[in-house]
Amino acid sequence: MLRILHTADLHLDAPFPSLKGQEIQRRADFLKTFERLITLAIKNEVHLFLVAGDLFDSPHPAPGTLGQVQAGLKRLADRGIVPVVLPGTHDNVVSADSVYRSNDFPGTIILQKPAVDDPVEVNAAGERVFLYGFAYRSSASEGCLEGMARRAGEGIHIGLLHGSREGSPEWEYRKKDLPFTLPLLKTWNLDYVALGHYHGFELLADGGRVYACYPGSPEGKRFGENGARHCALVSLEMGKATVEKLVVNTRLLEERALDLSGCETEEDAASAIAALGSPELLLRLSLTGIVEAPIDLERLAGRVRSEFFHLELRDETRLFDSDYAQRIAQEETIRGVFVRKARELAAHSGPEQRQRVEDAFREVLVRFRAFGGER
Amino acid sequence: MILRSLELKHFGKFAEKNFDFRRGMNLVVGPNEAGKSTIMEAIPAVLFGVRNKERFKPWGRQGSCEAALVLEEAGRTVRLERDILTDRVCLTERDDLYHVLYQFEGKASPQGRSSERAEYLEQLQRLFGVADDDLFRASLFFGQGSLEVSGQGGMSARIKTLLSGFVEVDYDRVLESLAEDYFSITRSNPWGKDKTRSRELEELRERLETIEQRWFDARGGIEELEKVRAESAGITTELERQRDDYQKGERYLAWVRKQWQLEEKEKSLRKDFDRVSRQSTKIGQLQEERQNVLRGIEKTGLPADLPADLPIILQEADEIRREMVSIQGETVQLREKLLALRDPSWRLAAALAGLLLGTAGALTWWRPQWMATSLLAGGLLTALVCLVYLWQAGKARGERNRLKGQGQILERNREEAQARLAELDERFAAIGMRPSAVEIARMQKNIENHRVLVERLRELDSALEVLEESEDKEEKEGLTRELAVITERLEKERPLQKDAMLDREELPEAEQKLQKLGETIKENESRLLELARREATLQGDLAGIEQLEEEGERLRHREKHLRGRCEALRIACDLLSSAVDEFRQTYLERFAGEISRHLAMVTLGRHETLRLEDDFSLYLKGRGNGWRPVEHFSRGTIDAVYFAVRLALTRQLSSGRLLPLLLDDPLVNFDRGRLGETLNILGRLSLEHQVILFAHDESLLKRAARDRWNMVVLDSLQASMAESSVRDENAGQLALL
Repeated sequence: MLRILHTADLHLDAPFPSLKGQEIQRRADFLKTFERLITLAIKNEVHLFLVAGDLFDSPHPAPGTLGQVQAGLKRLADRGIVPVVLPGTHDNVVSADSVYRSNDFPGTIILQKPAVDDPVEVNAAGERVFLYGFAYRSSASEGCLEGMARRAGEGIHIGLLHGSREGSPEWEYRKKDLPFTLPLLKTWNLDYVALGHYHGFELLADGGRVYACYPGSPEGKRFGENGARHCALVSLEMGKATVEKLVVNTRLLEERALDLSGCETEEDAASAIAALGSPELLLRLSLTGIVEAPIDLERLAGRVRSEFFHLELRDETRLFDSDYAQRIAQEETIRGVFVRKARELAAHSGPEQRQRVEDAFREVLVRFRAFGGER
Repeated sequence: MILRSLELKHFGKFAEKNFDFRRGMNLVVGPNEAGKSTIMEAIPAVLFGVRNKERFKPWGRQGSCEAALVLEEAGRTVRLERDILTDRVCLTERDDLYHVLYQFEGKASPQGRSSERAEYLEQLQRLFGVADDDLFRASLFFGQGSLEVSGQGGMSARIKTLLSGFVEVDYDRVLESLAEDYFSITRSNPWGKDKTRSRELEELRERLETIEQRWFDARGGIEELEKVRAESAGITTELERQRDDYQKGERYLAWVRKQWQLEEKEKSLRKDFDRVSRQSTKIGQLQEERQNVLRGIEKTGLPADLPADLPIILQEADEIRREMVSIQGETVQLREKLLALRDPSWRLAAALAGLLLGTAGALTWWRPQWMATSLLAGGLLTALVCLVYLWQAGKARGERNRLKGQGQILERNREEAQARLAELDERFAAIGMRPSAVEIARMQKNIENHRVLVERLRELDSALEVLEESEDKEEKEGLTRELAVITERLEKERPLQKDAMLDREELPEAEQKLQKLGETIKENESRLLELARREATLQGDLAGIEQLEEEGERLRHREKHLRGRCEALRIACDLLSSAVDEFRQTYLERFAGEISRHLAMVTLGRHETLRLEDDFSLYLKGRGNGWRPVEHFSRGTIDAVYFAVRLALTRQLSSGRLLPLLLDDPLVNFDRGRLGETLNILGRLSLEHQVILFAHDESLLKRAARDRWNMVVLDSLQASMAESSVRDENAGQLALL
């Protein structure tokens, strides 16, 4: 039985401009996840360690990162585990000084040819293993998929592909590099295809047979890659693949909504938000519900930021429909006129414009309140 | 509507205290820190609650903090209780007969959203026309110093603030801040001329454009990259070949030059060597000759270094020798002559005489006839012979004697020479020589030769001195070695074929060719560098295409966000300014009329008309019927106008209700005259509104007593003693009543 640890899209050294001061820490998280993958590979006594693209976020990672990756892969190689790395779209080999072209990865197989002429043959678990994979080059990637078809040869045939499956949940919002379909993939007649590029875990199976798998990003890079992140522990026996999901993420990304309707004060809101807090959590929190006072988002974020590794607040609360707004709408004051006018405008607007009007409404009332001072 | 009473329970510094008020003027007097502000703040606190629960919570006390109000209006009483900490509210409305008309009990916090709260606020709206803390304060509350309207536009600013519906904010400030935020995002101005400097949105768009351009370039660059790569590869191969050729050529030329150099060196060495070897041959010859000369000199028997007088001595010796030789010769001659000088032979004379006698006898015998003649002739002849013999003998003797004399002279000469020779010997000895006669003779004979030889020797020595043989030898050895090395090198490097070696005339051409090749290489190199740079740029663009896309996505996201915010801010600005405009159009005149009416009331008709401009600046009719800004009038007039404005506003906000006015020591800094004037105004106001004036000036008590105001006197008793003071106060109040 051949055991494989299959991962992809680690995006080591990715920039996180929105994390500001925590960017360095976040990058370190990604490396920690990489180390965890290595440890998992060793612990599970796998024979192959497959990275199906985008190990690095750019073709020129920082020397420190590179060194650590080289050491990690060497550690595997020293233990008889064959690391196989496929360059992806981010860590592409287009540039002559790209990481794979200008550095050695001792003991690691880098599939950096632009097309599969002949599969790379290795010995693992006492069997001949044929590896099919080519390095993505935007100019030369067309037509390369044909090279993935199984060649003659007794042994296990494994493909590595950094591409986009049509019909995948990510098809609509992620880039559609190297598109392929499951029927096409099936025609290759490979024992297993290690996929990468899409960041969500997805098993490609049909009729009880697993053909391929996207392990997803092992560490969430952006919001959307929420919750536990995985790598795939693949067992291949008699041409049948079974995939086990192993959790590997260092920190957690979450997108949640919090209804602030019940919160009477900013303090209540702050404690409600803080209750979600965890030092491992990167949270994008949409504040919803109808509030009776405009929220000073900056200040609120400042109060609770320390409870999270990273917190992004979005004000989606409705002040517009609050009793407060309704009450002042009756006033014979400028703000009363303002509220009435805003309501009128909103009533005659489309959904998007209405949102703008609500925002405008909030902007004005927040200011009146902020300048007036809290009592 | 009037405030009938206020009950405080563990509220601020009051442990438990009730305050009663009456229609008209109420004066609450007490020193500072007696709790005037607390009482005044208690009213909105009961009505609207407080956000900061700690504010009125007694220090160091757990448990409740409560307050209650009783409000009266024609035909009904409203009692309002609030637990400040929990915001539990109880509102009971009763009619004259104490029947409950309405009752509400529930939670009504200052913020939050609940149906209970909504209901409660609805009731407040119904009862007061004001259900908002801000508005309440803006209309009914006169804080400390709120009458201090100063400076140009101070009044209009105050009015703007009041009209905004907020306590301390005028809508202009909000508009300003909206615009400020708007223009921090973009430079495009929907209300006028665009700003010149790019703002975040423009910068972002520029960046986005750059990124998009780069993205397109990168996409288009793929083709170019292929071309560049192909060209690079071609040039690289070409360059390799050219460099190889160039190196070969350079090496060849260097080799040729070296060969030539070696040959030249060899030539010169050979020349040197020849010269040196010639020289050394010559030296050899000279030395040989010198040896010969030395041997010759030795042969001469003369010392190489000839004593100065030796030649003279030798000359003399030679002369002596010659003399002696000549003497010897003469002696020999003389002796020979002596020997030759023999006496004439008698035998010949005898023989001749016998012959002649015999011939005469033979002829006599043979011819005896002729005997006499023959004997005579014979005798005559014999006598003649004898005579000749005798003459000759005499002559020989004489000769001998002469010779003997000569011999003697010679002998003397010889002795003399001998003596001189001896003398010469001495002289020889004096110069350290003891030559034999032979040697002397030889010396004499060789002296010329010796001189020549010595001369020659000197020549040779000087020649040899010049030639310095030992150095020559070394040089020669060195040269030999060098020559050997060069020859060996020449041989080693010598081309197998004779024509592989370049002719000297061909060198410039070859050099030119090589130089040209070098230039081509340089050109190719710079072209390659250019291509490499281009490739790097293209590659950079290509390699970063993912990042570009991501950044683009991020920027587009941000742009969308900014655009949304921009739009929101623009709408906010537009809405608010149009609200202001509308407010002006709708209310300005009415408001001005209202103010005028109140002004007439508070000034007892001194000022009846007032103009309110669009910017809420106020003008009053002055002397000569001209409009003058209100700030130009007296302090008292300004105060009156301000009160009129506040009243008008209160009426406006409370939809015409006559609510109590609360004044927290606004007269604190007033001089006597102004104080009196203001109190007059308040007195007049109190005809329509209940006025509750909080003051620390006890002198007001007199006036209060005179004008029969309701008085509440706070002393500085601490809260712990509050209960007794309440009683006292109640007693006082009763007394006053």
